[in-house]
Amino acid sequence: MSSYVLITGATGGLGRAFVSSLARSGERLYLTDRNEDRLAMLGEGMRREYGVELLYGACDLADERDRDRFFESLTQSSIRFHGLINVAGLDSEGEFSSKPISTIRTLMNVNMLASVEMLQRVISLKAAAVPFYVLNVASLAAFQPMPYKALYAASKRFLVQWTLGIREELRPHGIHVSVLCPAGMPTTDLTIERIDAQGLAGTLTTLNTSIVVRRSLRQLYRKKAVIVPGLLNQFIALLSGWIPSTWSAKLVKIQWSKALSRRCRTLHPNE
Amino acid sequence: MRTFVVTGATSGIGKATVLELIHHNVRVLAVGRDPLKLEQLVGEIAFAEHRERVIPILGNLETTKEVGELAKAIARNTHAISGIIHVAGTVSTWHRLTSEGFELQFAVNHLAPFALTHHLLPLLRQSEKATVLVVGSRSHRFGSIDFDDIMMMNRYHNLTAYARSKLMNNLFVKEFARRSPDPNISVFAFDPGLVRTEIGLKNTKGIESIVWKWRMKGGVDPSVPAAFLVYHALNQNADIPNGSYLKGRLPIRPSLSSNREDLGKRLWEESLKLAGITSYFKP
Repeated sequence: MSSYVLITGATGGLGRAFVSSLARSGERLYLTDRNEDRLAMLGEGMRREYGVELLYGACDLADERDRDRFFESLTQSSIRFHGLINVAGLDSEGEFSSKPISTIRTLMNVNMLASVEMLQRVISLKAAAVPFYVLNVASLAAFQPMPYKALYAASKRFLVQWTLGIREELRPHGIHVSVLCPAGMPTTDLTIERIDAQGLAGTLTTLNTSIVVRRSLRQLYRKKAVIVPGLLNQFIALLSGWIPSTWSAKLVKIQWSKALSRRCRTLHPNE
Repeated sequence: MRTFVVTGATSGIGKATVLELIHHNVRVLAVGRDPLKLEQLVGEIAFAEHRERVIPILGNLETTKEVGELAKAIARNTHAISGIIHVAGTVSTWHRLTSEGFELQFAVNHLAPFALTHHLLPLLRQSEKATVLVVGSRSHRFGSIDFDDIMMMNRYHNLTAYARSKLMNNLFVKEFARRSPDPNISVFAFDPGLVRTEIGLKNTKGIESIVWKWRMKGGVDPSVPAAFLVYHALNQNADIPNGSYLKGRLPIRPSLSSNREDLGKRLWEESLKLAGITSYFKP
């Protein structure tokens, strides 16, 4: 019986690139994201381009009840899986003290709880006798504490730690788990603006999404534990391990303030 | 009164084309994706009698669904069109995929004019003579197409993607001319030359952006190619063969690849498939 790869956050920038790349290599895909129309649009585009049959179903990962509903429908349809690409994640910048509680809950729900639940439930629908690959998408932000992005960075750190733990647990079951830690992804006007605001550092750490996807998949199949695309990014990740976290937090704060003032200048050039 | 559709109407060559067209006693359906810029465009027109003849139409060209909706919006505003001037185009330093998963420049620069022309055929057929112009570029000479990787998942560079999309424009008009059952519809690609517009500044950075700025200084004002576009749109010079590549007032020879029938045919079939069109000339 044929089995599928489940992709969460499928219609976002990085999600699309994973979908496109996997569809191109002939994988059967099951896509999920918040918006049904956008899923249908991507599914239709991929069907036209690569002639593959895709399944999709909308799910609001921030909502516990919707997650339950989604899994019940998966279980009932008796679909089997041989892979999970956990792309869905939320970012939130700005001062912690002024962040609405709802934003905080949603972020922690999607980035952590949903990822954990997703994996546990999808491996319960594992296809027999084929290896199962899991890729959790964290971020380069996982390697240091980040003022003004503290929750985001910590939630990504959680994903890394958790992945490395369950990786050993699941190995004997033929389930292989990796975690991807990419730098900022140039996929929308907003993210491109953010990368531009970081100046040279932004340009140097940024890779095209299709390159990130290609390298990630290659290293996932080679069963690499932590995947960091880009030499400079690997260096940053390595360096973060050497520098005391208290220092790197201070450094990030300086860098962040610079980027913020540059972004304000581009938004209000006359001030 | 004749009606023309201009895409990319809110800046650069598109805007200049609208401002030139309205001096010729025609109606213009000006298509842009930014409501504010559309408002500004209308605001810049000095005379009320001209202003009344410009109808702003909000529309995005990234996905085939949006192109279909745009065609419907156009059809709500007119029963016949005498021409489409496809000016809208984009460049991007980063490899971006549209909501349909298609490479952005391919989608906006090629697939959108391909599909929009198809959707508007019934309106073009209502005119005694109609002209479709696609703004191309000399850079098509450096373009090549890998049909096994249309979305450029294996290799992407801004300039190769741009050159490729402009080669596709040429292949499209040639193939259209070969296949078209409508003798009253002429389709041309138009080379605007080097023009002072912001296309290269919107989505680029670093060296690319510097080179673009430097090259821009040597460019002509957008009103120059706009005047030629309007000349071709209105003149409907019967001496120019259908499917020509125009520069200034006259056809010139495009690259050898532009004339290759095998490429034209393959691209046509791929485009039909990707735009979800079953029969191009029977919309």
